[in-house]
Amino acid sequence: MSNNESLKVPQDKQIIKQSNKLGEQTRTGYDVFLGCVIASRLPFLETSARKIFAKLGIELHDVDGFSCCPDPTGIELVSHSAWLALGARNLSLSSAGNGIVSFCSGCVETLKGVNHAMKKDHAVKEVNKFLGNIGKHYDGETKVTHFGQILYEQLEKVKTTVSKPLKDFKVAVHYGCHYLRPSEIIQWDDPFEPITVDAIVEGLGAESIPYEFKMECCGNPTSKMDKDLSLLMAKKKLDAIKKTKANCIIVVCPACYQQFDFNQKELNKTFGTDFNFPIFYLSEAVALAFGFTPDELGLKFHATRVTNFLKEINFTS
Amino acid sequence: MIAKEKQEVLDLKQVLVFKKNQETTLFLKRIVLLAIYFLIPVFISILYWYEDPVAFDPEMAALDIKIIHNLGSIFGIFSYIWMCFNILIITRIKLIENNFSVDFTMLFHTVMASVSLLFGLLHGSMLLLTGIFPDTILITGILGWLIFLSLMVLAIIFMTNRLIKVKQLEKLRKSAYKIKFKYNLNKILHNITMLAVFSVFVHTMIAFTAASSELMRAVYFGFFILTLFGWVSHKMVRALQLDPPISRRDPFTKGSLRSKMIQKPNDAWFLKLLDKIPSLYACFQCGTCSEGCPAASITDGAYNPRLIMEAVILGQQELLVDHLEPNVWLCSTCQKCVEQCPQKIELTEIFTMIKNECYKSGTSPESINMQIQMVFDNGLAIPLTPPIERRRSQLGLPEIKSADVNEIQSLLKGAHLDLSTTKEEENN
Repeated sequence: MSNNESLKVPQDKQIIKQSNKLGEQTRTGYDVFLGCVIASRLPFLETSARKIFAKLGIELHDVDGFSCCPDPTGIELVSHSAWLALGARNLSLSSAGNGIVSFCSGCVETLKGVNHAMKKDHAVKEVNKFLGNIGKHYDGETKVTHFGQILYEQLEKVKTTVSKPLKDFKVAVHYGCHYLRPSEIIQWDDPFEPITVDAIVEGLGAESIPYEFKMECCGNPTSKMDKDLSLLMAKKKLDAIKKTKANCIIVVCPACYQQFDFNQKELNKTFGTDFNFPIFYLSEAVALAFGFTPDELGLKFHATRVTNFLKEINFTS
Repeated sequence: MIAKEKQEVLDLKQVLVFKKNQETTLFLKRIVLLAIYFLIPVFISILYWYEDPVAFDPEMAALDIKIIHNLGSIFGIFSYIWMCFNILIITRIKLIENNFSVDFTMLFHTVMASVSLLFGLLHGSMLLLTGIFPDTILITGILGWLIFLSLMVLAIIFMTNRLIKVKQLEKLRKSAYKIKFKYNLNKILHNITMLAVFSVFVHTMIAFTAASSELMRAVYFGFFILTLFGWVSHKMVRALQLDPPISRRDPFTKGSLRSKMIQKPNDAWFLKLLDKIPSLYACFQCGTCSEGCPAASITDGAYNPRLIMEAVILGQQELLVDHLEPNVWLCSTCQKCVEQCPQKIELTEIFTMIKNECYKSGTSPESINMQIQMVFDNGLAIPLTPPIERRRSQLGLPEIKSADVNEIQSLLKGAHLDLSTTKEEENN
């Protein structure tokens, strides 16, 4: 990695004020909000996430009675008030000291978005009128955190826990949209020049490869209306990644994961391309670096095979 | 293999160096442009000092009076030059548009126009301390200043969203919209600035004739002509549609939506949207949203957020909701437009409201309708089926106790979303 120096992600961004509060949040733990896609379609992503949190000593509590978050690219578009009601109900169920952690950027955007909407007086009244029907109440106080944020805040601990550095992982980091935007609601990384996931990836011993259109959308939400547009949006990104020496993609959102993992074959068939990028969820990459085996993590459930890739780069024998 | 690897590394480094160079050039260009803005009035002040047009008789006036007079004149110089520049910087000069964002240019225009106005006030009050001036000078100066002041107040209330969080402002804008005082009317009113510029120009000509300084007269005349030329050519370009007719940033716009309008502007509908999203009032169709939109670049503008915003401003509810023209559902909710909008307009929220209306009129995509039905029936968008539950236990994951469906249904019914009847119909 002779060029590692030149590609280092700048660490001096002012936007992230809370850095590396080691151990401070490990005692009381988080309520874990799974959401629909991870729980019911991609449970193997949940496996890796739970394993790394256990390894880091961060307690996760399961809460009974969560519903769909609901989807900020689906239900909200049908009925804003239904979205608000369901979101507030979910938030009202959390009692952990640190609030909710979610492994899904969409759930995080919805839950943070509901909290943001509740800053307006009339929304608080509206929401509690809805919740009153089912005997619940919400005051807008539950904190919501994306798992990527916790990993970044505990980066030093993550680094010291790494037992099998991701050598030869040349990663195209895909942030996706809802991990960052709208920044007024998400209040985390820079909306256009983010650094957090790159920093985690580099902390695992992998190399983050810059590429064109890094900040573009994966295209998943448009598939509900226009499948072709959705595929073209994915293709634009994959084409750009293909031009670099990246050999895998890391994502932090299950919608992006599905878009890239499930559609590469279809893209190859339609456009005669030869995309074959293994897609890793950030939690999977961290888990691999922590020494968990592909079998333990259920990596065999990926649509684009990852086992060959891990052998090729001599990560597994 | 190793050689190939090295080659790739080199390429990447070259790319990075190239990118860095590009950034440096941009940075330098910005510095030069800002230096021009701030240094030119300094040079002219030096020129003025050197020319010393108002020669004081030391016996007639004290030295401190002269200092106050000269200082007041220098405030006047800054005020005049910046007045000209503040107009020029928003007349779509390519050199400025390519190097600064619309957001920055507008902020700069707003702030510096206010500063110039303040300098104008200082100029007037300081000079009035030092002597008596003829009526013509007073009238032209004060008239120009008052026009600028009223336009500034109007612009701060109606044209920028920077103070939109103030509740009274929201109400004021809504009532203004109701009496047809729309954004476009503000835009037209803002052109009265040129009347003020002319008044101030006459003011300076009279003053420097009295002081008999041909050099200063020439400089001021030059700046006036420059400003007039910039303004007229900007209006000509717009009138003759030599450039993209409406927008600064939208590379896709071929023409206005007006020709496709199928209903009279529905102001009541616009007001309903404005009520929820007050920032909407000040969309001036710059097209920054379309410039950054990933769906727009792939559909070559067939979908583009600026076009939707234009339809909203023109109150084209039927076009948007019933005909999906332009199709608001092609938005991928990536929120880039919201982040980049120089007026901080919450575009995605506006689109959400339109989509909500589409659902009510039955024009929302089938997969979306299925998703909400799924949530209504199961509490989850993707239900937990036995195979998935088996896989979860294989993976060592805990069992999920998701929400009670009855509770979710009564919550949704309370939130005006009752899908139970639809389902019974389907069963029958």
